[in-house]
Amino acid sequence: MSLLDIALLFLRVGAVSFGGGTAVLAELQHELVDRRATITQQQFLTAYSLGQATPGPGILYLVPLGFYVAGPPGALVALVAFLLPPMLLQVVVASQWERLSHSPWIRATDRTLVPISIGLIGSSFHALGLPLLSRPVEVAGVVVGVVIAVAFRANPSLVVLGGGILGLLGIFS
Amino acid sequence: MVLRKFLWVGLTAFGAARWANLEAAFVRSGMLREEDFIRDLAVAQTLPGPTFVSLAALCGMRLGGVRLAVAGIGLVLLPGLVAVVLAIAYLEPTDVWVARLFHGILIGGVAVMGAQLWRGAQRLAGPFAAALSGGVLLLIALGAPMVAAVLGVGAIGVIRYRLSKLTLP
Repeated sequence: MSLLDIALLFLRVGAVSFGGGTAVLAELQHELVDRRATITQQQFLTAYSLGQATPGPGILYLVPLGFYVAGPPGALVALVAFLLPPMLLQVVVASQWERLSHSPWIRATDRTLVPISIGLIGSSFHALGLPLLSRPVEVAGVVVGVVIAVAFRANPSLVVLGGGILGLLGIFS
Repeated sequence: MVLRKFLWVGLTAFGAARWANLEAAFVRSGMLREEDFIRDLAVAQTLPGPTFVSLAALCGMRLGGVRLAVAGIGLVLLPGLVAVVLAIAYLEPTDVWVARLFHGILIGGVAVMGAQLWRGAQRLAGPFAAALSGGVLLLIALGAPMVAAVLGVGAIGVIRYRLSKLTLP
């Protein structure tokens, strides 16, 4: 995959990343692992885990993804291309938001984007979660994590950290 | 001072609602007005892109124009980038301990995603909104390109909501 291909893919995905970086996981997995076979499923999952384990925005998994595809230049191109369309759009729209927010079309769009972004997160959950559902101990780990995050409003970082510690202890092996 | 605040936010923002760190840094310190921040948050959550990074850019715009917006994006990304680069350089994913750690983190990450999904589903206003979510999920699961799924289902949603009284003043 050339740097131009990487740029075009991440530009396209970034432009429709309603719901943030998590929402586009399924599409990136489909493109990089299934369709183009540029990286392995294991590399994709490692990249996602790396992004989860670091401070800052959750989109940092794009860096190892780009790195696995084309080394350091790939990492840089992936991150910049993904961020470029939304950042430009944000800056332009923010200056016009007061006026735009009164438009019934914008309000209808705003109302539509909530279910769309939830659908996108659902598709990422499906794409990443499905491979885990083959072993009961992993299903149990995911279910317990969801319950802890929802019922006890635990900080998501603690859920991720807890998963990492249990993993180190060999619970999921 | 502002640059240091952006860097600190990038270093300390973990988990959900990372934007709250930006609020703490710039609104509670009196550098930005709360109403401006809330308006920018609405823009960042509505448009595509990661809310946290988008909001950092918008805070930077208000505080010092395009230059500070770009600097803000760079600085909130920097600590995580350094951590990722070090991990790529020094961690061997095939090492048994690293593999175990990453697998556990993955399970935790999927659980967090599941919780996001659960909370999001509670916010769906009625069966039509649920059908829109389900439509996007189904189309992508069946192999449709994400752009087509978003634009197709999105067009149905916008037209339906535009025609309904739900969005009228």
